[in-house]
Amino acid sequence: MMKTRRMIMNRQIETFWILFLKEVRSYFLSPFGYVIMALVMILNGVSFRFALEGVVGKVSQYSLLYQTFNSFWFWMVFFLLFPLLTMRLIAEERRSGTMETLLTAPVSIWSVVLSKYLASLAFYCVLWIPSMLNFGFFEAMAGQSASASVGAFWSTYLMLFLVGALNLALGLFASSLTSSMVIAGVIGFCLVIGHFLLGFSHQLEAGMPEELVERARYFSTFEHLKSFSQGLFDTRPLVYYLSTASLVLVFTCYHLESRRWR
Amino acid sequence: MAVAEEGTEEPAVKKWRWRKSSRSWEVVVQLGSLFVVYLLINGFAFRYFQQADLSRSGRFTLDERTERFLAELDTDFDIVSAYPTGSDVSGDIRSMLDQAEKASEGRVRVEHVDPARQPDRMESLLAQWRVRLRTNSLILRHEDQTMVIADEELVYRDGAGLVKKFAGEIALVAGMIGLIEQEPKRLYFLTGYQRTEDVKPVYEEYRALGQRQNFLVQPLDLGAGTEIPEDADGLLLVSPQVDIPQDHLEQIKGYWGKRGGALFLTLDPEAPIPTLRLFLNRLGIAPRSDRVLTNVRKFGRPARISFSVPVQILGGTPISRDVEGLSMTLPGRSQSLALFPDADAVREDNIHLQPLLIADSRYWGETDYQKPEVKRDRGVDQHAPVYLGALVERGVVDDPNLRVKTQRLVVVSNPELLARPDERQKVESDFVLSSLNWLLDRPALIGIPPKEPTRYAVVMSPLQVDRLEKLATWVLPGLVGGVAFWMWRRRRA
Repeated sequence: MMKTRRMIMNRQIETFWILFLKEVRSYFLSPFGYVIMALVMILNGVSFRFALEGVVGKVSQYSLLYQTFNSFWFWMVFFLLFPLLTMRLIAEERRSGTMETLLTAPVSIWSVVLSKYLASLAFYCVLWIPSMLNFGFFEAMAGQSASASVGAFWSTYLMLFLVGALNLALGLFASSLTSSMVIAGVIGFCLVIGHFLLGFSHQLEAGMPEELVERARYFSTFEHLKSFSQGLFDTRPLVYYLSTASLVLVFTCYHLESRRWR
Repeated sequence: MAVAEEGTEEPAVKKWRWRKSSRSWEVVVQLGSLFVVYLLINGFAFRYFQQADLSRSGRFTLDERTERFLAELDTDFDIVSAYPTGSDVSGDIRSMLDQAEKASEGRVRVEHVDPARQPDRMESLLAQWRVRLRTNSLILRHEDQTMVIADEELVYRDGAGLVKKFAGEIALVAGMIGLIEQEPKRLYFLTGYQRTEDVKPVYEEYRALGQRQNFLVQPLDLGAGTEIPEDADGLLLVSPQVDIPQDHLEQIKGYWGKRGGALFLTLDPEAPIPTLRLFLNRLGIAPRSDRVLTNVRKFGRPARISFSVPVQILGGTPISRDVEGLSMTLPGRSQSLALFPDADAVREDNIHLQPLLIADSRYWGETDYQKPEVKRDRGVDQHAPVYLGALVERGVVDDPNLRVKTQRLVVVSNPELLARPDERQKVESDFVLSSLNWLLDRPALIGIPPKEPTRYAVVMSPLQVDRLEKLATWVLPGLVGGVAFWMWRRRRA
């Protein structure tokens, strides 16, 4: 019995890896991934450029890293990125009819969802490497650090990872709702923007009680990135993003599972 | 599945429908339970969290003295932060108060109120506590007492309005101590030995310092037959121009000789004060009849004499914890102090004597200071180290567990300390405050340094900036775009 279970587990892991590598290849072995990467790099480069103008020849309270990741151009990249990465993940499979094959194959829904999710997360992580290179070039040329401290540097990228984890989960969920990539992209965009604006809900109405204001700040991506990029690490966003991403993935799995019952 | 006539279903269909329905309920229950677990996890994380300060300057960490003070609090405080969310120090204030709440284990309750977005709440609090605000502030409430700490006490700004130093911690602790003490400490500023027009501005400076840290500075003229009040926590004798009458000095000595006597003294080298000098001699301090000066050279030759002395605050004393190593310039004319900590009389009297201020090594104590040209004479003039400040503590016991009130004295041999508000440096005020807090036996307020925000000033040539911008915006993305194009061509082929 135990041996059978172990065999099943091993097979599932093997299947997961096959699906994961397939998804990763679809990002790196097609022009699509590189186009997205180039677009993100251009917009990040513009953000970097404006941030550089804010520190060169001036005395500023904020580091280059902080100004790069708290600028308008950066947020523009952010909102566009997640729908682009995730809109085709499940929607395309449904449109092309391969989803039914996948669902009827002896492959668990979890393997399917996790492989797509982790592949998009891996590609998302790679997207930020060029921005690290930008800061590296800056440090080599200017001879000083781009961030408030080494801790602030890595905690900023940790926050980017966490926010990415949640927003990719939201995008994947949106993709599972429809067979149209465009609609999936729009829904994903709305979910990402909606979540971002949730963090500003305490500013929508004057006179909101302090408790509610504190709770609204708990969701605020803007505040999280601001404090992490200044060097203040907090466990609250860590728990929030990981738990919410997990919950959304669970919803995605259940939604796909429900298709099997129909 | 065959469906029978309308109104009846085969048992297999019924079973299928029942299974589907119960499955749906199963899923609802599962998802609901998961959601509840999710809420519990986040609720727990919201209340019980850890923060780590990864900044280089320790910007988000409370000083250990502040933490200790808050941990030992045995009374409750309500603190309201009346700062707008977008303010340049709102992050620092929020972080400081969050840490204070944690360190006090619930004794300190914090509420953040944005006056622009929560005007009703702000008005209700101000009306309830009967305070008025003219600027962004912290409002402290303890029992029935309220204290307002205004923005200028929390933040030191430069001319451009940028934050130079964030002194929130010291202001917060001082405010809390002030509310706990209820009766502020009283320092009596001895008058009658200086010209009124000279001493009034200095008196106002000390009074302003007192307002910042909850001690009262009041004038006291012993010449009118007045005695030193019983509630005197310390005496300030600032730059007496005439010698202290013997009977006054006996009063001062008698006060200082009592347990906990505290005296802050500044000397004017031009003033004849033989009686006072004698008093200091008995404590191991001998003001010399010199002037601390240096030759300012021009083209290698002495051009003029400079009497304004840059001094450094020496470490290793109870006063210098947060000001150790800092420098300030004492304007006007100063005399050097000879210190005899190992003299027999000093030791027998259980007097502990330490130098506090040391002059820059280019300066010496010149005895022939009246001459137009001066030079260092070995054996006659005072060479380095030249001390301009010292502290005395009498009655110290070796047993650290035994807390005994000692007699304390701080002397600075310069009459211009705090006397020139326009030229005053922040270090001067910090040094005087640290000295007074030590004299008043308020160790919690000594050594909490203000936090200096890190400043970024990047120097790069326009060529470097241009190259970096091109690299980030065009070259690297262009390379990746090229790979995309190649990949697309390969697929088409």
